[in-house]
Amino acid sequence: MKKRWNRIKTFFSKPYNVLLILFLVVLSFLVVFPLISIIKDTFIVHSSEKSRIHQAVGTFTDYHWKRLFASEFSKSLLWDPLKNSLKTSALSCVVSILIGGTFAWLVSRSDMRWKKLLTKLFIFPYIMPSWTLALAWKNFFKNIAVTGSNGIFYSLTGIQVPTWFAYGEFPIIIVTGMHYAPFAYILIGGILHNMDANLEEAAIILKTKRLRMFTRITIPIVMPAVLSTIILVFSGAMASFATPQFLGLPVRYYVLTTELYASINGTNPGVGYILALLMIFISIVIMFINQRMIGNRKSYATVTGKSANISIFHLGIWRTPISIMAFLLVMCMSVIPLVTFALESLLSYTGVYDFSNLTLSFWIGQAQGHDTWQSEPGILRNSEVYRTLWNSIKLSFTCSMGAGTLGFLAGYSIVRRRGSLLSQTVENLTFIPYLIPSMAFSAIYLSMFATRRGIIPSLYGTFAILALIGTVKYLPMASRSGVNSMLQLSPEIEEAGIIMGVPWVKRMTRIIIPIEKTTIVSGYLLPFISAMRELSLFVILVTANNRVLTTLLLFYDEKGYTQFSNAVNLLIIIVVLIINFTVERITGASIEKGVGG
Amino acid sequence: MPTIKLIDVTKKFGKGSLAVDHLNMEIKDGEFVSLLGPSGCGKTTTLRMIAGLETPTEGEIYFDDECVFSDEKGVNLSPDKRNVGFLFQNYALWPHMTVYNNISFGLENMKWPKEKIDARVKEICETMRISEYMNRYPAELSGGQQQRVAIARTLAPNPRVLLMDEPLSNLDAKLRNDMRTELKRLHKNSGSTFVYVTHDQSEAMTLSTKVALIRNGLLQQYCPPLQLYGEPNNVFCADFMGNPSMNFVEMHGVRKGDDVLLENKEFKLLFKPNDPIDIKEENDYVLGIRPEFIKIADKGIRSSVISSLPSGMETTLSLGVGDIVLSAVVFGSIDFAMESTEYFDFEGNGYVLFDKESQEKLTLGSLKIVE
Amino acid sequence: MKKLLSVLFVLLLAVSLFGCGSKEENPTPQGNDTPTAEVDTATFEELLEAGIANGNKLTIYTTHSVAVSALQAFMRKYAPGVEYEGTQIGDTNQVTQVAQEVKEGVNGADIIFIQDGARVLTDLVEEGYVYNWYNQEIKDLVGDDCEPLLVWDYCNKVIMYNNGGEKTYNEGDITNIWYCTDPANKGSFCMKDPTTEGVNMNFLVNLVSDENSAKLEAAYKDYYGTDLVLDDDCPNAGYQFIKMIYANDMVLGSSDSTIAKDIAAAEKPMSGLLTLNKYLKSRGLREDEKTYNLLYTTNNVNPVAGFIYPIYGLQVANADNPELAKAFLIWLYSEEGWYGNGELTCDDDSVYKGMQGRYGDYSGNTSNPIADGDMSVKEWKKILVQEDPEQAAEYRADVEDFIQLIK
Repeated sequence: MKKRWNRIKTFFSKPYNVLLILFLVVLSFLVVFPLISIIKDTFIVHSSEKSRIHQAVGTFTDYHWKRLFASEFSKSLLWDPLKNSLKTSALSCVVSILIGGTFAWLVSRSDMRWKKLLTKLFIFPYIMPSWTLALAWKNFFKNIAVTGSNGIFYSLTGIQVPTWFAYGEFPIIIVTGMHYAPFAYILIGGILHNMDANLEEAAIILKTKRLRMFTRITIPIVMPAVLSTIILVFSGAMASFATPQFLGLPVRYYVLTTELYASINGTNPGVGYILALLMIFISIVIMFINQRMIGNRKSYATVTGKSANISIFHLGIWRTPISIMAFLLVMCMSVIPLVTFALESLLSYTGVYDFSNLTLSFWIGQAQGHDTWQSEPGILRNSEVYRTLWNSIKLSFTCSMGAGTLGFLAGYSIVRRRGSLLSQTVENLTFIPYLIPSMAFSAIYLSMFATRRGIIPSLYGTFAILALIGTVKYLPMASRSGVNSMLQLSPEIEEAGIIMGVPWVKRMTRIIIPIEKTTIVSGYLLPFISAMRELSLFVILVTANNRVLTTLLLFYDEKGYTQFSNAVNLLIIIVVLIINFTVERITGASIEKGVGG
Repeated sequence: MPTIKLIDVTKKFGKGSLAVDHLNMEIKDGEFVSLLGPSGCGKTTTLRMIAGLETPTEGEIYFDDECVFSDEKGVNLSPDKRNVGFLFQNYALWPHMTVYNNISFGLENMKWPKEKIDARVKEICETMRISEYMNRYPAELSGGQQQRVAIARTLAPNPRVLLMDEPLSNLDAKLRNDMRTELKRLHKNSGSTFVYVTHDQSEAMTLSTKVALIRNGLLQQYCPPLQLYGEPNNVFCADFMGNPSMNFVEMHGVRKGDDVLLENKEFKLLFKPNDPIDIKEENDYVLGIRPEFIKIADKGIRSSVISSLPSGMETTLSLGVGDIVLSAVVFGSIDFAMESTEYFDFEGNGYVLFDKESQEKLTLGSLKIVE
Repeated sequence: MKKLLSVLFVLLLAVSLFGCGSKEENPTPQGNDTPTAEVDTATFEELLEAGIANGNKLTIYTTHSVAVSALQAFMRKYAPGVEYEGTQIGDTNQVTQVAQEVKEGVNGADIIFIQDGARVLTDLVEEGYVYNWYNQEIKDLVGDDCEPLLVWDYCNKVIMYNNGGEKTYNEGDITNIWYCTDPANKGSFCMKDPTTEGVNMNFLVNLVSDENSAKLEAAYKDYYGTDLVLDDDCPNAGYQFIKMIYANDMVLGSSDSTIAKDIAAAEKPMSGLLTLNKYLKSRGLREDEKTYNLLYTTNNVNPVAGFIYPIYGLQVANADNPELAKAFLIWLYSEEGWYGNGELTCDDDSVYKGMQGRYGDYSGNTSNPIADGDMSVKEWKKILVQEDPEQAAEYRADVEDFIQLIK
């Protein structure tokens, strides 16, 4: 008995054990609880379902499961959207890996021109709210067949793009792929950058042809990065709502999220919750397959090393053409959308692209009354915009502090106990929020925290619930970056402190944090940026008092205040860019480091 | 098997920093040449330039009469056309391929027929004693096994030249010794030309037929190892070779006929050159004395034992003469009491006289204590 | 095994936490204590006085922006010193939010202005989160539209089309609603996605009622010259109509404004069902009318030119200041409440103009004047389908399921 007590005491004398236990308890509540709550929701009657189930609210029912899996609706509710989701997510992965991977290779391994500028710009699509890229696509390519009029592309070139190009599957894949291409670039670029050049040189010496070397050596070696890109992009793409909504709806192309949205907002939320579960399930399956594929046998630990001399591939006569192509690609992905946002925000009358039609009124003009085209003051004069901006920044800052700090501590304790059941459990728990679709996640948090739970008071309509959900949702990013940074740090460094009797807090603040400063700051940056551009996570939790910029943007957009919505969009991007580059300048941290470690 | 010729090869990194400085050397067919030097001296760069992995800034490289690189003629043969093998310091085994595939990969590139590849892989695995690991992945092998696989991969296509970049530096001492023997055997059996980069002088000594000692990009001496040991060109070479290293004693010298009378505040020695040379009337010298040339005797120079490190086969002594400390090696299982007094004398004619200012070797000769 | 263990462990932990959380039973809202059978006799003055005496903050949720400025104008004049807050929230979010708030006893809205009668009935009224209230004053003004849910504001969505060019529709082209099933108009008929905005769904549901279905059947013959032959999956002409518009590549949009712009700018004949105020917004935007060029159909479309749906004014069960909420509701039916009096101001000190000059908004009090050039509710009701929330609530699931299969 005494022995056991001593063992427990020893266990808890290690700060990382205490942390792991804390994480286990808190995350079970914040992550697993929602999952259980979703499962429960798939078996009960919701108020909007009374007219179809004819039973009292809250009664147990198998209606939803039957309807989704074994009814005439299965095809249109489940199988078709599922097929579309899998297809668009998979192909988005392909697009983002092709674009991001190629770009990563060009940047790290070739003598492409303008690398510095291009890498900065290449990150932009990730900073922009994903659906704005979809809007830009629509503005640009809309065609007469569906919308009745043509977009900017037509007015510039006179070429009318076919419907499949403007709406539906194809643009969803391209836009989502572009949104995640920076992710792929950062992850694959990281490995290419650190990859031991000798591995390729060994192949050259053994008379390997360029192409064979690329396919048999380079690609397999960046495979782990490609695979982790696949998980991130696949889950992200599958969970994205706004892009398929904007680009798919006009041609009635449905994916799981749009079906989920329609169900949860419509008269059958139960089915929506099953769809959410299904999406989580698919992501987990993908994750397991992924882990299988990386496998234990082919350890890639040997891959990274110092690579003092990366052999730069000389593009030769292709240098300029390829550089120009990369430049054009980056322009299309990053600059043109910004320009369209700016332009759209300056038009007196939407749709008329001539010089006399430009005005700064929507930025700095005064309100002109309810029934006029400018019912609100220009956004730089609008106290509501400032209030919202401040709230957005405050919220993003809080989420980033929460997720960043917890992520770092989680990373620390996970790495210190690596291999143990506890550590593995906590690591998996921290990743789950990434797999839960934002919309379902916030719906659950709404019902979870609207009421008092133990010591937690009702958080409905408060800033706290937004901060909480943001923190949990972005924890996966931060803890990933935390794990990466701690893996790079050998435990001896901390052990040296332990031997000298330095207490834990001091070890953290005086030894570990200073050493891993840039990576840790990067771990904070990513949640910040994500929170700034987040919509679907906050949209149903936001009330009038704590509106954020994205919900304001959506509000303007729904009201048809195109100029305002574009101006706000630009404002979000500018704020994020300023903060990103300031942090980068001051601390040397960057999104790249946050993602890639 | 070819002769490799480097003519005035220079390599600059970026602006200014000179990695290799007008290097001239010839590696003859079938030789085992070590490129030796402290880290950062340009030895790896030289090796990589021979392989074609690095492009020289200036100069020419010939394999026999075939020019593989020349900045003037604009020739730069890519590595795969030079028919060399290259063994990397970290082995550079492809982590995603089994041992078998690691080895067969290069052979497939050469469009060998399948049966022949299979036979060759099996043969080389046999030679390298790794047959039982053929289906394993590199991560599942120990360092020594990985090393063998790397060698097997390099040797499989029968390269005419085998270039090795510190291949033993990641192994523990015991394994390293085993591998040395193995490399020497391989060299003999294959008859290929080996070029071997190392910073370990004893490795260079024991393995090579010739050693090129490089310092800051400049070739210091290029000769058989024993010559490098016995007749170092300068203080650097002398100091670099041998463990414990050579004793250097700064002395003032006055010409005495064909000989030099060397003097410092502790003792006086008469240095007798083996071959007559021009000797200045008066000069500052550095006298190089190999530890094994100091002989403990009944009389001679009086010294006190500062430390005694017996290793069984021999004992390394530190002897103090006033401020001067000399290392000496005494063969046999003997221990000496610390701070005991011992006398020593000099024997043989392997003492090296360096000019203090230029640090260059002047001549070799014998020593006599002057009372 | 390790993995399995960890999963079990976590589940156990979560369940135990879950247990602690849900032990606390939430008080069931007592919403049905206000019977609607007897008409409340309390007057505006009494309620206002009681509301001010109550002193609690007055909170409203509304789908219509004017209610927010009306609240400001009202409070500044009648109840200065009492806090207030008006928030514009879309109908589906409002249903979720109000249900959640009342269920969990959170202080949210006192009164809501909300559309989508079907969802309001099933999700809010039946559950007792929200109740229908009016007093004699309102009854006198609004009449039949007090039941089952009190109408504050009627809005209409009518067929609008681009016009004025060679490649567009022209006035008078659209005379029968079946035009949007005509292959000649394939891919040119737009609508806000019925699954995302309930009133549109309610319209489709209302179309399958016996009455409307019969009208549609007659109109079909009028348009195509032959009798309508129903497909096997279509129980009546309403269903057949829905099936055919979907099959004719109806374009679904996510916002009326965007659809309006698209139609107006279209270079082929395009049309759609849009709120009428988009029409007015499109006029007066620019002198040369280069941007928008919309027209709307009126009385010559067989059988209907669109639909008219109410925004209801309903009391929330757990209101903090129900008296003031009721007083505000009564005031909204006055001409001052509807149009302002030129003196009332909003929070930004602009003059409160209410529904002045708006097309497509009609007070539940039919004696309130309408904008110049618009028609009265009475006239509109003749040519539009009027939302029947009870029928819509009953059949909504069926029609949604039907659409799910054909979309």
